[in-house]
Amino acid sequence: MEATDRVRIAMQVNEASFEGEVEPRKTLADFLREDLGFTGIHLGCEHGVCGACSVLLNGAVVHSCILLAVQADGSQITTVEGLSKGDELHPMQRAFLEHHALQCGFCTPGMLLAAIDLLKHHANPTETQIREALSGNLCMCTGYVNIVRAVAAAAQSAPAQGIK
Amino acid sequence: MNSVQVVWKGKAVPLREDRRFVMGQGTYVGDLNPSRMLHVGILRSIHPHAKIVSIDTREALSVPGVVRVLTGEDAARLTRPLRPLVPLPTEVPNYCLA
Repeated sequence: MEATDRVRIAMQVNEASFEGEVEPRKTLADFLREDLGFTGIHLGCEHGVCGACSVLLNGAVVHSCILLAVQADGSQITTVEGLSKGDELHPMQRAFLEHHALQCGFCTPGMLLAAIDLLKHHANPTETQIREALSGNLCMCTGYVNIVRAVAAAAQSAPAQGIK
Repeated sequence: MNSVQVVWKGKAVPLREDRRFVMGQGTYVGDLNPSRMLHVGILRSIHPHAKIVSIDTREALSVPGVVRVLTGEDAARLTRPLRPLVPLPTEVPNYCLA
């Protein structure tokens, strides 16, 4: 197979089915942004350091800029666009709003997904656990204090089943 | 005159723009897609310190889809030197770097 031969792939994104034809070298982030239009995924560093491209792949948080689209063939993806249900925000989104956990918003989608992944494993995390879980997500605006507060508040306020 | 006493000090003010940001609906430079938009790739020198004798761009220009190849010579021809933000010890004009 040549590097430019296209490969058919299919995946569920935010509970809807999508298909596409991609070059094997195309990253999952580029496929989701360019081919499917999920521009809530942000590309900061494009080498797995900044976390702005974080998505949930089969429920676990991953950096979509260092995965290939073909590797995600047949998987279930959740992006930031899939968090709210209509106008109703996800508890983590509400907590970020209420605690002013963002300024420019570029890192926010990745932060939200990493934080949601954390609460699935630790319903009542310590500050150390929150900071550890968000260590793969860089924010150049806030200094992290309000982000940590927001995640802690979401853990307190949201019923465990609300964090999906 | 109607006056309403509002105490702002110490209050958290909900921000108008935050809702779209937490929903992933912000628009950043990477999301812009005007018609006929071109993309740029930057090729940096593979030599940490060298004198540029010549740059042969013919092979790059022959790649399908390549519209233009710009080098430092083009930058010097098409742009003016940057205004120094701090006093520089030399008079060397400071052109934009890729």
